[in-house]
Amino acid sequence: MLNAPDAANLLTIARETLLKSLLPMLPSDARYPALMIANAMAVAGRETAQREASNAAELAAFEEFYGEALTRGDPQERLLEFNRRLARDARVGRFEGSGEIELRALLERQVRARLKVSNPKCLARCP
Amino acid sequence: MLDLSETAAKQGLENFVARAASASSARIIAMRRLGGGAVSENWAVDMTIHGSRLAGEHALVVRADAQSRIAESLSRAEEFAVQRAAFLEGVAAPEPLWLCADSAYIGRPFYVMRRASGLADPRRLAREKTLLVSGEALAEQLGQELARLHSIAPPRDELDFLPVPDRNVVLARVQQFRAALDTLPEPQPVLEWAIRWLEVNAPDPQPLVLCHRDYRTGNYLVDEGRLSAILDWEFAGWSEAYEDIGWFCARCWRFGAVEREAGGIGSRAAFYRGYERESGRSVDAARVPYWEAVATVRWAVIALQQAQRHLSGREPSLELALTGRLVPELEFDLLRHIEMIEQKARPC
Repeated sequence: MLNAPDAANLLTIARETLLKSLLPMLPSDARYPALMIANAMAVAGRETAQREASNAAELAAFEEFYGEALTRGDPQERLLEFNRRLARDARVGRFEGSGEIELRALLERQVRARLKVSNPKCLARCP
Repeated sequence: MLDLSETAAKQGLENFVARAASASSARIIAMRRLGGGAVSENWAVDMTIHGSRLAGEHALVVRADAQSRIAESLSRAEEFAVQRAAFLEGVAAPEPLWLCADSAYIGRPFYVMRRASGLADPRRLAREKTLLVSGEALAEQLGQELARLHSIAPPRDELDFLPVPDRNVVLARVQQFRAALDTLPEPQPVLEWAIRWLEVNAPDPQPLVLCHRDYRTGNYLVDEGRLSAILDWEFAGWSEAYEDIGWFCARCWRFGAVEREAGGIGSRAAFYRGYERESGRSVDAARVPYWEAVATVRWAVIALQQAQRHLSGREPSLELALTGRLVPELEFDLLRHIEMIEQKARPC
């Protein structure tokens, strides 16, 4: 679908308008909700821009970790299935011992990818 | 459920206070809704009481059930009993005056306490140094208050509604966290891994004491730079003292001031010093990081539950929605924090 400006672009300019044009005019008790809105728009913008590449990378990391690729469902469904399996395995300590290093590397990778969307400043503090 | 600003509720409140204070009448002079409180609604109420030994003007807080409740939280009657026990022990809790379990007065149970003044905003307390006379003195006093609370141990008749964990508190928490995750639609591999780590590395059980279970910056008032009152007793319960100590010191409750490890306002040493002076027992500093991991998992689970309140459509809220997006940062903390604990435990 050709639609310019795209969703990420619209969110960016809408957020800038909120912060630059509206925020200075708002009464003090409306500042916190306005800043929450700006934050939500920033998160949504980053997620929109990164989703496809991020999902593909996460799926590849899962396939490498489990040594197999899931064939059924779209990428989103396959990711959910892999995450379910990982959660079950982590609960019972399936990779404790020899698999622990790889498990932690996978978890770290996942968390970093999610932080890149939700709170990139946190990643900048702990590179 | 009546809104407390409605005339019928105001009259109900005046009637209740007059009766509870054995007064001829009680009149509201002014009232305003106070912020905060996800599971309770708080109103600052100024009242004049006539014809009683309490005759005169009083600055009060009315604490009533909010629209939504969290399963884990105490009822208003239970919270009143806990706050009373803490107050009578000499803890700086606002003095609870009267409990009204009868919904006839304002349409729901509530209690009335004396109003303490001060600021609770955790971000401001952690960032604006001018708000505190001394962060170290405040941390020390908070340690002292906590130790005083922890001097209350089971059994206590007036607190017999509080469940006594029947085994290691940590293992009970592990079970609660897993049960909570099982109610959520999305899997949480990082939290599952951290909970498993807590289970495998559970320390020896310690004696049970009365814990606040939400003892952190944001839940106490600072007035003219000094501690004025400890608030929000709705999650209190029998637990190990280290659960409160770990919750207070966990990185996620330092509000950006990570270098001030006691609640973002002072040093760990000062907090422990106050605790030790009051309790006469030393704080085993090596035990606390484990409980900080418990705290971080618990907050992450609560954050997911908050997001779910929004996602379910029952309580659409941007604040609840964004709380769900805090979870990756907590998971990042957990990965680092657990690694740090393991490194310290490793022989050189």
